[in-house]
Amino acid sequence: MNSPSSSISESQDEKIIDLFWHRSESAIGEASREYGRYCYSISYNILRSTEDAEECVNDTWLRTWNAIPPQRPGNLSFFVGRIVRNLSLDKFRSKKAKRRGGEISPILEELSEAIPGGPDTESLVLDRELGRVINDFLRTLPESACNLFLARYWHSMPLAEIAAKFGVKENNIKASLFRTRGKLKEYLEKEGMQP
Amino acid sequence: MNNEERLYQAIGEVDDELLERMEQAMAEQPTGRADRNRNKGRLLWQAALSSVLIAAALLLIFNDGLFNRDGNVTYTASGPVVDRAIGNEPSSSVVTPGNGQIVYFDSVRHAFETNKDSRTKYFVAIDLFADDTPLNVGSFDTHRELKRLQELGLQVGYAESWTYQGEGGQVDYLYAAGLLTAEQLKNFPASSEYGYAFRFATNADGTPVPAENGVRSESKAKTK
Repeated sequence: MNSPSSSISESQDEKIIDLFWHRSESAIGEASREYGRYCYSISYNILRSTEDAEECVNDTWLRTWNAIPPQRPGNLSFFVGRIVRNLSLDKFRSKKAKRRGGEISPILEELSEAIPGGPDTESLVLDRELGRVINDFLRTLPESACNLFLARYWHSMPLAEIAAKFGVKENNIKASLFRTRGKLKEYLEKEGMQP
Repeated sequence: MNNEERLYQAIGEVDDELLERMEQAMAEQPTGRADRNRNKGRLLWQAALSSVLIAAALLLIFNDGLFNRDGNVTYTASGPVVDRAIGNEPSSSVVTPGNGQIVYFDSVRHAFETNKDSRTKYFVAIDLFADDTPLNVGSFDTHRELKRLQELGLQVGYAESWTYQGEGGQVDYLYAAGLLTAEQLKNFPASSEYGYAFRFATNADGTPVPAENGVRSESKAKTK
């Protein structure tokens, strides 16, 4: 699902952020109306549970309320998207949601291929440093490969949905993701991210 | 947290600029190549259906539907209609239908199983899913699927409900809906590409959306 940001004017985004900033109680309602479905879609892809996804989305507004201020996001949809993504990952880990067969299990399996030394090695990298390296890596990719990578591993979209969104065959998406994971592994090794 | 989860979490922190570029690319592809390929395959049976369509269109004109000036049809029921739970509201099911599957909320199932009048139509919301993911009502897939069902002679389209906005304000929004008989609900022509959940729609204050609102064949605003 696309972020609704493309259809919401920046001023509307600013208006909602201002409501949070000035502690207006209508902020949560406005944010929920504009970004509720978007957040639900992200969470549902990860958890495959209506109840858990709704809970994560509700928690997202509380986290947003606590975060703004002091933070003032440039793009509210990505801001709340990151929050709901992290909350959903936490929920997945706490509830062992792997059994439900959601999209996150195959995604984590795929990502294990990009980890230098294999998935069982103890991580020696700081998360913040890892985030910087991934940002740098994505900028080395062709735009189309980068877009597919983010659709899969940021949005946690099923392959069929990515195929529909980008007008690319599923097999081509799988091939692109496979190549990108291989490149990411090499990049992480080169950057000293291996144990 | 294991390494895969750590990597997944770190990907969440990518720059907004990269995310914006991805979303822009998605927005520029409303009908992808995969859709076009599927459409090619549909041409043959669409041609075969064309004669049925003409008959269906004529039926709509002389039956319940009324054409607006913009070609939009508003389906309304001329006979008995049920738009809310009959008797006590049973507990509702929240199972997500997989592709090709149909789920009836308990209130809908209870209504069409207890009402023996075969003329009765049920004014229901139709929640569409693809690969277990809810479809946006404004999406191309929703539009295409509702069109397919309309072409099969079903009175489906868009209905309007309201939710709260701001402090005490209300805002209308569209949802996929249908005016269907018990027979049509039981033998619903599900596509293998989508899942379907039928429920009675309510407004934000819990009041049922009245069947008098009707079902519009198109999502465009009515001409007044």
